[in-house]
Formats: sequence, structure tokens, C-alpha cells
Amino acid sequence: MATFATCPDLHRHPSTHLAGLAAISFCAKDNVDDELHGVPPATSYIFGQSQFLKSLSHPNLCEYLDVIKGKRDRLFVIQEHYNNSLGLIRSTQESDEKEGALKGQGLSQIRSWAAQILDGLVYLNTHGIAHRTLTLSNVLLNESGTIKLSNHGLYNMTKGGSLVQFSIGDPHYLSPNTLGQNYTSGLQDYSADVWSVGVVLTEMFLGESFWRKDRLDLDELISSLFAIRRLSTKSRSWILDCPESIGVNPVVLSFLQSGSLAHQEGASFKEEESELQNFATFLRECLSLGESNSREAGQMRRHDFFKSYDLAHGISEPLSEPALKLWHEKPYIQSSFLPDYEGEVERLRKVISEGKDLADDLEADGQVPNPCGILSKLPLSQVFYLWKLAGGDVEAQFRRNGRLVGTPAIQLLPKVVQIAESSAGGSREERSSVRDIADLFSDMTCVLPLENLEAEILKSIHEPNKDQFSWDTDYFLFSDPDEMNFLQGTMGENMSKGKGAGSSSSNSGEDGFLYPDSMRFTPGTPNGAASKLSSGLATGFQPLAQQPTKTRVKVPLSIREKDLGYQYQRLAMFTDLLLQYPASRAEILHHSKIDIPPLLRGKVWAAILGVVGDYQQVYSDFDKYTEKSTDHQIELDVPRCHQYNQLMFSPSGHEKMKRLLKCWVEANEHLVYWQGLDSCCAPFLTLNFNNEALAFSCIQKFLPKYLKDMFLHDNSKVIHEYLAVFRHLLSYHDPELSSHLDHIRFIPQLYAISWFMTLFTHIFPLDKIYHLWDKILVGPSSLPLFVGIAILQQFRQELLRSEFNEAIGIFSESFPEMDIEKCIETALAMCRVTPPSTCWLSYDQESRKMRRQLSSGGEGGAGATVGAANGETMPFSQNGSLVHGEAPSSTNATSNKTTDQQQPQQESSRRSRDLELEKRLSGGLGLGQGPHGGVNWWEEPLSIETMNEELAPRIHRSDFVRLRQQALVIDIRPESE
Amino acid sequence: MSQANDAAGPAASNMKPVQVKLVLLGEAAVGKSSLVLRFVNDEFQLNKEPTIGAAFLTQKCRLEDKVIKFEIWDTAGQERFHSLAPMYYRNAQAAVIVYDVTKASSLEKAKSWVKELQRQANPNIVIALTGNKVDLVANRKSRTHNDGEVDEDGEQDAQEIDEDEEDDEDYAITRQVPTEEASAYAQESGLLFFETSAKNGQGVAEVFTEIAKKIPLEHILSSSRGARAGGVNGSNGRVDLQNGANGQRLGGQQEKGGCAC
Repeated sequence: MATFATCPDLHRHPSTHLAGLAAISFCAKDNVDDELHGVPPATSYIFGQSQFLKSLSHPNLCEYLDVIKGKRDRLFVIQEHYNNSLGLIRSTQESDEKEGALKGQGLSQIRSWAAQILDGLVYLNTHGIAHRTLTLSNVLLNESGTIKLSNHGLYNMTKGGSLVQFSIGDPHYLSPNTLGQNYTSGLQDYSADVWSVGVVLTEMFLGESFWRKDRLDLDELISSLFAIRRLSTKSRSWILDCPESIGVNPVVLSFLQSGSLAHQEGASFKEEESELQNFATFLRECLSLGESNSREAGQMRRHDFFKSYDLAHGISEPLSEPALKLWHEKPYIQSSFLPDYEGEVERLRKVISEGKDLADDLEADGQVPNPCGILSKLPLSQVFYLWKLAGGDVEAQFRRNGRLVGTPAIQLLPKVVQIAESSAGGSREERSSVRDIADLFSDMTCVLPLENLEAEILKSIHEPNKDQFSWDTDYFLFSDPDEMNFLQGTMGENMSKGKGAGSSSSNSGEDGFLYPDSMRFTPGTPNGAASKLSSGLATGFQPLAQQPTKTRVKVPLSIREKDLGYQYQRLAMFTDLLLQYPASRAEILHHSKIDIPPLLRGKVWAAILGVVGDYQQVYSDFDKYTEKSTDHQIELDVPRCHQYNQLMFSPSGHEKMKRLLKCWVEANEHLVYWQGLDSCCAPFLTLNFNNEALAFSCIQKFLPKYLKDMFLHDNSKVIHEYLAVFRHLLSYHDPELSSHLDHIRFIPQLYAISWFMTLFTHIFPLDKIYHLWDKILVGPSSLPLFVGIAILQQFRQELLRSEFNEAIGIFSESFPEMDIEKCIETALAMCRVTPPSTCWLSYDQESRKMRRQLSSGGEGGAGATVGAANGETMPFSQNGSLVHGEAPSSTNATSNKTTDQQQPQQESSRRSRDLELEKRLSGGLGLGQGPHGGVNWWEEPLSIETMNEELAPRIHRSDFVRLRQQALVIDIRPESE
Repeated sequence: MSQANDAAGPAASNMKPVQVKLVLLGEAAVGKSSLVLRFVNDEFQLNKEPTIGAAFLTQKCRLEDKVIKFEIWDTAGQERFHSLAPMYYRNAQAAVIVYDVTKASSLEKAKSWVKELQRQANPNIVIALTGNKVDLVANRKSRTHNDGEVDEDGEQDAQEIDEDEEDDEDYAITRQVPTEEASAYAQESGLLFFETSAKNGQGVAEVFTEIAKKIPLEHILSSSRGARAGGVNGSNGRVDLQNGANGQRLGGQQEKGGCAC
């Protein structure tokens, strides 16, 4: 079914209550000394490692939302949060006790909690994580009383505490076995958590603390733990032989030993004796130590104690994942569970249309005021994202709550101590004794306030002029209807084809990539269920036809990306569309042309590229571990790839990148690893950091479209042709610049190889690449060529003044600052007015397709068609030249012939795929064969040498027909012809 | 040495600089780009991104009464980019061939570059063999070669290096190319020889000053003047694509690539 339907980060919450968000903060170990020698800093390790935690999703776990690096070595970890916890229940109990109320909790309640805690732990263990900080205060409860474990990643992300200055876990709940234990990744001791479960449950059941209250001194506690450990090596069960001197609370001990509550007065516990016995056995097993006795959460969950719970909840087998596999088998069916979102939107609309304050509106409607109505169903990652957009700042929040208040700097100055003259030294510095108290660990959570977020969102949507806001930057609208537009014509064909039933999504490659006409294809036009939904959603959206094109004001992308209301709408729409992908692919494509919400970019890109099916399986089927000859180069390149990016810099980022590249090498046998491929993969990895498989599938779709054959072992033909076409296009659009650059011999081979081989990832930082690729992905595959020209044009004046050295200096070493948005705009504008045949590349699929289409129109008749259209009888191989602007390229007119390039190079039949394609092509070209059975001279591809000699492009006859009215044609054939 | 790295001083400012085209070659990740960055900007970047295609930088330095402008082509190290190299080393007056002292294989690659240059490049090309990353090896012996420095700066540098060395000991990486071996090879092949550290700057400026000393500057000056007047490519940084680079392969055919100039 739907490809992304199982992604937790798109899922709306079934509950009506908004979960809270909270952050903890701590400082990583400062390992500056190690860093000098290439050991990655601890913060970076933790940052990378913690990304994985964000992908964990279980009903009994709090979701990890983000990890933010603060100043120095400080990290902020943001998690789902609930105010209620077992700790809170315990402390209210304790205060109640004074009033003679009941102690402890009923056994059925305990059983339900125990089952849920263990379920959470089992899930963690299967993902290789040990909790190790399980305490009463880390077991939270949501509003419906469901257990939500918290802080479960702390141990894992800090390498068992070895990367921080504090020890992880509260000794009151810590298994004696963990004392002196070292963290070894991969070989985690999951049984330690079971001890904590035992302690937690005992305390909750009995309402007594596990350890004697008068013996809570840390030293004594630790020595008690050691004593228990010693005891357990000698006796079968330390509980039965436990002497008084070990500080376990006697009440607890007596229950554990006897399984009865003899001392309890009255009817507080009505549990059957056998149930109690059963529970005590369960606890004894939880608390048993020693290799032969220790249990992991999975085993404990299958304990007899839970029989009645499982029966009541209809659980016969532990939950497994094969059910999820079914989701992938039939990928083209619309998702079966559409969230009820429309009701919400209606309410939202009402609020907006009536122009009332939210509070008034709610009261007037007589609804129960729910402070977070529109947010409660959003995935938490989106709530947090919106909170940040609304100005939320985790670090500032900490300070506001009075945390992170440091020791005044003056107190941190090194103290100079005078040492008595008799001793050897003079004065010396005492540095170590002072520590900033803000650096100390506090397990206090800082709750992030969400109360005002909904009001902020509504206010932002409601701001004046927002109606236009969402639509006013459609880059793909054509500003002047009289302007020549080559994309429009081809688009017409494409759209009519796309409208054929079902072909829009099953034909995963090209269609829809060519600028659909917004007039015909508005979001308001129903295109299956998906568009109905989104049209209902987008309150600001109106059919484009109603808006005069020219009055639109462009709101820069940077503002749109920071606008709360706009992003809320975009997120809502894209979330829905993604859940229904691939059925909604056409629609996703359309909306992506406006912009892509940054939070969902990874998946939206995958949808645009047409990733379908079980990509996880595809990725796991490739061998990523056998050593290969390219490993060495990959090892060298990965630690140098986009290292300013936190994710790419982290050790887990390096590992993932290596796996990804190795997988690519394995999966593409006819291609080889070139330096620069790592850069191309970086955007996909950073956007899908927890989903290598998706990143890989994106790369597999992306490279054939934009960098086809660029990574062949011998790519010289590909790259030189690309650069030659680039040079021609530059002449076409900016003859003055082109001829100047040619004159100073500033040729693309010297500066542009890294531009095109890495699609600009080698020259721009990732944040710019995201925006650039947002547009490239929804554009034609020739768009990068125009981006290249746009880059040159941004430095036009400088370049025109420059000699070779200065010119190359502009682009060498550090790339100059660029306005990416402007660059894209220029590129698109040029792309629109460029005859497609000038961008044809012999290896490019899109070009091939177009040529095929043109030639299948009837090769023999083509000449006649052209002739008829022109009212002339000249054959279509007429000479002509396009004059554009003050084109000095007309000096080259002699060599400009509107020449056919239909036939892909015969010698390029390296691979069977090419052969097959060619067969099909030449089959369709039967009529086009020359008199000698060969190919007509005008159909032969231009050699790269010829292309390099010519400054301006040749134009195919199909484009020529349309260009003629706006071009000056000079026939330079000799009279004799 | 330090003043050689300075931009041209007032005395030399009215002199026309002699342009020297220099190319850097060597295996991937031996520190070619870092070496240039140290020479041109006196900077060092850890984890510097790989060069793709090539990069071009210039730096002026003064040698006695002349100002030399190095036009440096810093090439990509990966073997696959090999066939681009002739485009950059053609007409070069100098080449710096870099290897990594902690990697024996990189010296082998360097040797093959030397052969290729001697066969195909400008016959008068000055080649310097440079073992980079000496900061990584805690071998003190290899560091004593810059004993000519007595000025204050030099002393301070030396001290800093010594301190680094002590820190380094735990992390010492074994040297795989002994100074003697590389030096002997350089001598027998008629190359200049240096050991450098782009990280701490040791020996970097020296490479370029020594090259400048060895280049027949007068010859270049007169020939480039002639060339300019005639409008033919002279000694400037331009790359000559017309004479053969046109159809050259980017990948494969490493041995056959290039033309005899």
C-alpha cells in the first residue's frame, strides 16, 4: 500500500490531547585533547547517535524529537512529555498516607503498568537499546493512563555514560550487576533493566521505598548493592538469604520472601492469595541476579503473571512486524485510513472567516475549550517544528526557567596561588578546582510551553494578505503570454498523456516534470481523492485563474519558510499527500513546484523521484560489508564530505555514508565511484538520516535522471558533451559573455566539471543545495545547465572585466556568495525560452525520449511538414542561424545548421540497455535511412570536437519551426544549391 | 624564507612579476590542496573537501630582486581524474609532486607521476618531490632538516612543533616512507626534495622558494615577452585545450592520455 503510510513522523495522533514537549540538557565530556588527534568530539558522537532515537516509535515510549547542540559542549534533548508519572503518583500517595489512606496500588493496576513497561523495554531491546535509567520519574503516564517510558535513550546516546561527566542512572533503581560494568556497544546487558522494573513495581505496589529510608546515604546504598551482588554469587536467591544488614526495606523484603502481606491491616488488598504469590515470584525473578538467573524484558513479559492481562487485552502473541510487510505489496492503492481532518479545517475556517478571537469563538460555539485543538492530532515532530517557527528557543526556555545559570565568569578565572618560598615552585595556577555549575548534570526536565501555539498559528493564517501569500510565488507561471515558451508546447502533450487513467503515477519517470499549466491543473481541480482533500485543507488556496498573474507580489522563499501559518498549511497538506503516496504523486509534484516544507523534504523528494515499493528490502538485499577496491577512496572521502554539517560530521554520519556509497557501488555494476559522488549523496543522507534505505532509493532514482553515465568508468564523452552543450547554451543566452570567456580561454572544462559532476553539491553548502535541488527535482533534466549559466551571469560584470586569472579566481577555492533563489529564477526563465533541441545530450533519457517522439511523427514526412508550415519547399536540412540579441555568434553562422541529432551515437552501445533502445529507435527510423542504407549526414551526432569548435548551438527542425517567427534566418548556402 | 612568502614589497612593486605555472600532482588525500592553502593563505583546514577536476590559485612571492607570481593548478587526486592532468601540466614550468609520508603507496604513485612528467611535460620542468604530513609521525630525526633557521619566528615554530610532538606520541602514526629512501630517489631522478607539514606549515614556503630559485626566470621572462607580443600562449595560467586536450579521455586510458609537447 502507500509507501509512507507506516512512517511514524507522518502519523496523526489518535488522542485528542496534545502531548507535551520537554527538554533535558547536559554537557558532553570535553575531549579537546583527543580532538586534536582526529577523535571526533563527544558532542558530535552523541548528536549522531541520538538521531536514531528519533526513529523509535512505540505506544509505551515517549518520542524523541530533536537533539540540539548548544554552546560549548551542551546538548538539548527534546522529548515527548507528560506531567503525570509514577513518581508523581507515589509522592501524592505518600502525602495521602498521612491521612490514613490506602498504601500502594491494586494488583491489576500494577499488572497493567508492568506489562506496558515491559512492552516498551522489549521494543527498545529489539532495537539494541538498554534503558538503564528506569526510575519512577522516568515512567510517565499520558492522560488516558498509558505508560510512556522516558529518557530511554540517554544511556545509548552517551555510550553508556562514557561521553559525559556524570554517571547514568539512579542507584536506587540500578541493578547491582551494573556496578563497574563497562559499556560495550552491541553487547548490552538488557537484564539490568529488569531489575529496575522489579524495584519500580515493588515500590508502586507496596507504597514503600525499596531501600530502608534511614539508609539512603549514597555510600551505604552502593555498598548494599555490592553486598547483594556478593550474596547472589553464593546463594540461589539473594532475597531468601538476605540479612537485615543489607539495607533493603524490611517490609519489601518480607513481601518478596513470603508473597503475602501479613502486616497489612484491613481490606486494602483483596487480591487472591495465589495472585499475590504469583506477583511475588515475578518480582523475585525480576530481582534475581547471576548469569543463570538474569532475565531480559522479553522473557519477563511472558511470565504467568501477565496471563490475565493478555487475555483481557486479546494479546495472544507478542506483536510482530510481518503485518507491516503487507503495506508494501500493492503500492498503488490509496491509503485506507484517511484521518478526519476536514472537520478540523472547517472549524479553522470558521474561526478565520468570522474574524474572531479564538477564545470568543470557542465560547460562542459552546465547545469545550480545548487549548490545542488543531495541534493535538499533528505528529509531534511537526508540533515541535511549529513551536520553533513560532519563536520557541529551547535554550532560552531553560534560562527562563532559571536553569543553566552559570557560575559568574570571574569565579572561573584560574586562581593564582602563592606557594611558600621554601617549596620548589613559585606561583602556580589552580584551574581544576573551579567548575561552572551550569555544566553539572541535572535530570530536571524543562517543559516547553505549547499553550499559545495554536493561537499563534491561527493569528498567522489570519493575517491580512495571506490569501495571496500561498500562491504568489509560482515560479512556473509564465509571466508574459506573448513570450516564446518552449515548455508550454511540450507540456500540452505531456498533460494529455498524463490524464490517461492511472498513467500519471504508474509511469513513474517523466510525466508531470514538464511544467503543467497551472490554469488547467490547479489544486482546486479534483484529481482523485487526494486533491479533494487538499483543496479542502488549503484555506488560502484559490484557483489560479481568478488571480491576475501580473499583480502578484513575490514573497521570498526565506520568508515563506519561516511563516508559521503558511508552514502549518503546507505541512498539513504535504502530510496528507505523502500518506497517500504514490496515488498522490502528481499532486505532490504540482505543489512541490511552489515550495517544499523543509521538515518533510526528505520524503517529498522521494515522492518526486518516484521511489515506490519496499525500499527497505531493496537496500538490505545489497551487500554493504564485503571489502571492495573502492573502499579505500571512500574511506578517504567520507571524512571530508560536507563536514560543517553536524550530521555529516558525526561518527554515525560517517558510517552511514560509507554504507550508502558501498551499497551504491554494489548496486551499479556498470558505474564506478568517482570523487564527488559522496557530495551528491550527502543531501539525501542528511534529509533521511534515519532511513538509509530511502536515501539510497532516492539516489538510485536521482542519478540516472540528472547525472546519467557521469559515473561511468570512462565518462569523458559524457562530460565533454555536457560541457560543450553548456557552452553553446551560454552563447545562446549571453553571447557577449560567452565570446568574452572564449576569448580569454576561460573554458568550462577548467571550472565547471565539479559543478555538473556533483550537481553543485561540491560548490554550495547543503542549506543552499536543498533549495536548489527543490527546483531541479521538479524541473527538466536540462535545468542544471541553466543553473550553471545563471551562476556565471551573477558575476557577469566581473567576468567581462576579467582576464583568465581573475576569472578563474572568482570560482576557485572558496565559492563566492550566491543568491540561490535569483539563480533558480534566472535559470527557469532561460529554460523556458530555450529550444529543447539545444539541450539534447546523447546520453540523456529525456532528450532521447523527445527525439523519439519527434522522429516517430514520421521521418519521411517530417521534411514535408516543415516545408508546408513554412510555405517553402526547402528541405529541412536548410542552413540557418539564430540571431539572439546582438549575437556575435552570427559570425559562426556558417557552421550553424539545423541538423538532426535523432540518432543516438551508434558507438555508445556499450550496454545491452542502450542496444535495445537503439534497436527500437532505428526500427522507428526505417524511413529515415539514407540512400546508402546508412544514416543521413544530418542525422549523425556531432562529434565533441565539432561542438567545441562551434560557439553556438544547432537547432532541431522541430524547434526551428516555432522559432522562425522570432528569428532572423540567413541562408548561407552557396547559390549552386 | 618568511619574506619570500610576503606579497611584493615596495621595492619590487614596480617590477613586473614573472609568471610561473605550477601544477600539483599526487595521490588522493596526500594534502595537495592543504599545501597550496598553507602557501597561499597560510591556513589549514582539517578535513578539507576533495578537489574535483582542479582548482586554480595564485600567489606572489619575492626572490631576491624579482617578483614571482605562481599560478598554481591544484589537481584532483583520484586516479580516475588522471586523464585530466595533461590539460593542467602542459606548459607548466614547475610541478610539485606530493606524497604522504605515512603511506608507502603514495610514493609509488608519485614516482609514476614523475615518469609521466619526464616523458610528456615541458622538458625543462622543475619537479619537486614533497613528502607531506610529517606532523603525524613522531620521528624526530626527520624534522631536523630545517636547521638553517635562526630567527625568532623560526625558534618559536620549532618549540611549538616540539610540544606538538610530545602530545603526538600517544597517537603516533608510523612513518612508512623513510626520508632517506625518498631523498635518494629524488636525487637520482634529479628532483628537488622536501618534507612538509601543511598542518603546521613546516617546510611549505621552502618548497616554493627553492622551485623559484631553480627555475630559469630570465628565460621565462624573455620568452613570455616574446610570446605575448606574438599573441601565442605564453607562460600564463591559461590552459591550452586546442592542442590535443579536446578529445582527451577523462577516464580510462591513463597511460595513453596526453600528447607529447
